[in-house]
Amino acid sequence: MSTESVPKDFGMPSAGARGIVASHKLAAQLSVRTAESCAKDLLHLLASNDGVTRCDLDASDVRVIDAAGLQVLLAFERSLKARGASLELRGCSPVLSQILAHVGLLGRLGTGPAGVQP
Amino acid sequence: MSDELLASFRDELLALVASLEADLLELDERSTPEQISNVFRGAHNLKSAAAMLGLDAAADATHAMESVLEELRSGRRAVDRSVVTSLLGQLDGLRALVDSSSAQAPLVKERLYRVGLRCSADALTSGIDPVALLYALSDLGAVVSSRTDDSRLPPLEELDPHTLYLTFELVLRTASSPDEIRAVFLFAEDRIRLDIAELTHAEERPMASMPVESGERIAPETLAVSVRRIDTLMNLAAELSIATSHLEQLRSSGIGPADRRMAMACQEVRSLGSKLQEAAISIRLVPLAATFAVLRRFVRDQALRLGKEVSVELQGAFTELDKSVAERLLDPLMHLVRNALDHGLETPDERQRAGKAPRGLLRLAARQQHGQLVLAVEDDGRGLDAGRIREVAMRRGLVPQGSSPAEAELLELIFTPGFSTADQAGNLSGRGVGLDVVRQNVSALGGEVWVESEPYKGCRFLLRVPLTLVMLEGLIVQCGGEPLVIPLDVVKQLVRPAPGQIAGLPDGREVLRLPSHVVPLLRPTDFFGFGSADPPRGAVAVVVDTAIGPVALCVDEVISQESVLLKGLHRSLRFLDATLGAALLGDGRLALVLDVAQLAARARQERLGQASLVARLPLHASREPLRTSDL
Repeated sequence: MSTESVPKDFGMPSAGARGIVASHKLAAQLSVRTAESCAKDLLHLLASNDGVTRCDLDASDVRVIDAAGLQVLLAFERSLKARGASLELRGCSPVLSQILAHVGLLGRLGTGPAGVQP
Repeated sequence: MSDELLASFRDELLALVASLEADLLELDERSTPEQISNVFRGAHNLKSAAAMLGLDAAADATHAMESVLEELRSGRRAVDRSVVTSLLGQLDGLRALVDSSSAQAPLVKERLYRVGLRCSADALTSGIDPVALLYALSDLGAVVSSRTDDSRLPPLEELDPHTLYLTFELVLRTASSPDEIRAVFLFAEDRIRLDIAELTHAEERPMASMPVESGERIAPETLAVSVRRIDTLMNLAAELSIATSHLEQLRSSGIGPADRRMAMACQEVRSLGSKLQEAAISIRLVPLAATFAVLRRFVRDQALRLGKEVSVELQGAFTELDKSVAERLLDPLMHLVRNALDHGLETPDERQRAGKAPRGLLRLAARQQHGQLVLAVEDDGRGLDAGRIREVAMRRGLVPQGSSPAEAELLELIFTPGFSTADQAGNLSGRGVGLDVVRQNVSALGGEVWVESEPYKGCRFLLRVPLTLVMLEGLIVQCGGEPLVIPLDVVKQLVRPAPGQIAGLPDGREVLRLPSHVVPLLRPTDFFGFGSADPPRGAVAVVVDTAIGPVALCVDEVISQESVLLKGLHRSLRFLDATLGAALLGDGRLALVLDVAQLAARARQERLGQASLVARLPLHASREPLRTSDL
């Protein structure tokens, strides 16, 4: 994940009526070149947000995504599920929406509006 | 691509043409930036659809339109009548192109393929991105559905970001061959396994909703279905109703709790059958908007030719009616609009001299009323000249010398074959051919047409037609031993005539005396040649409403009231006048369905000949016309 676009606060969790929600902004590129750092960031997010019930990823900046990037998102979703939490991609950029639609994942990963907290 | 699918795409293309035409006509009257954008969007959609169908000429033509529209959008060119006329002309060419392509063999033969893609685990580090490869397939056609299999994917904690775990599958609709599909993956062939299989339609199951062009597209809300399939559904529903009747007859002999339960079950089946029929009918309903759109364009073109300025006002464009009725209404409506433009509405100069706004108004209005569709074609022109009508009628012997028919009776004469008051036949109308055909066409739909007019203020034609020709609520009567169906919506009253209530006139006609008025009496037995005078003639008089006022029909007895499925008569029986078709009754018998308006009109013609038309008008016009203020 490119450092210039990744906030290092790793989304302070917010507690609400719907449980604890962690949020995080994805970088512009989710590709084989950035997959490792992206995975590390997301693992850190998991580790630092114990008891989280949902994780919102702000995907409005994503401009490039390949199979490696998709795998990171899907594996992250799997890890969240194992903890009883869910993943929501919010504010998907048009490119990301198009790719997700093309591989049949648009409905699964969710496409809430950017920056909107429940 | 199957012929059916191809036809469906062409229909979609024609619908886009119609939509763009409506937007252009709107632009003609209201040139806002939003409307320009609407038109631009419409043209763009049309171009994409044409290209997808392989209609390159159509796509090129739309591209040319887009260039003009881009100039309008950017403000480099102003919207004026000539630009819109030119764009409409181009659209006409486009429509012709699409129409002509319908007659040809399919231009492209598309097929469906299931494409499965599995890559080696090191594909990612070898520079192969399966997502990009799959995305490249969209250049070959449309991705109908797709699926990503992540069953081998570990959780994030165990993920090796450089190893590929995913496999993919999609369904592609394309004119390309399997080899051409394979060519997309050519440079990666040593690290992938590609499975390509052609699908039959039965296998065409969706894997996941797949918006092709943008992530925002959602599944369509409409589905084009062949009318034949809907009719099959309706026929089955009707058969179900008849089978239920048989079942009811069978169980009616028994008595006891079991039979009561059977009766309830029969009732439920009947109720479900009715609901099924209603649902099937609703599938056939279409809004009048498409018909109105054609008329609106017609008005614009003809007004330009005639040097008249006309605004069109549409009301009730989303009133729904049976598709076949809508199609058969277009001709009569077109004729009425043509008349209004040619004879009714004045030129701007004439209007100004008469103290009117230079721009005339043509109003097309529709609404449902009592299960029927009522349409008005109204203009604010010069109205009908009753004096001139009387003059022509007298010259032609349609009005006896010395008689003084009421204005409403004179206006009726314009529906007489060959009747015209125009001094010269125009390009559009005035040849004395038409309004009789309008009435004939409307009557063939089981409807009626009449006219109202006010000198110098305008003219209003009103049409009343059934919403559907498929199903109707009928009064089943026995007539000369045969069952007949009278559409219930025209039935006003049932009378069991007392002695002396039916009277004969010297000219052979019969009338029924009602407490407040006298109405003509007709005997369907005589008209159709059913049976004889047995059982007693005229046991019941069914008073029905027709375009020329109330008329009593003498029948032997009233049997029941039921919803019937209307079927067209076989070619060999089309000579039968005054029938809307035939219906299969609940008891399994076949019955003719009466066209009451035609029966009344024909009966008068036969008995009275053509000599004195005014004398043929109702003895007493106690008709309760539709209040036009309702429209």
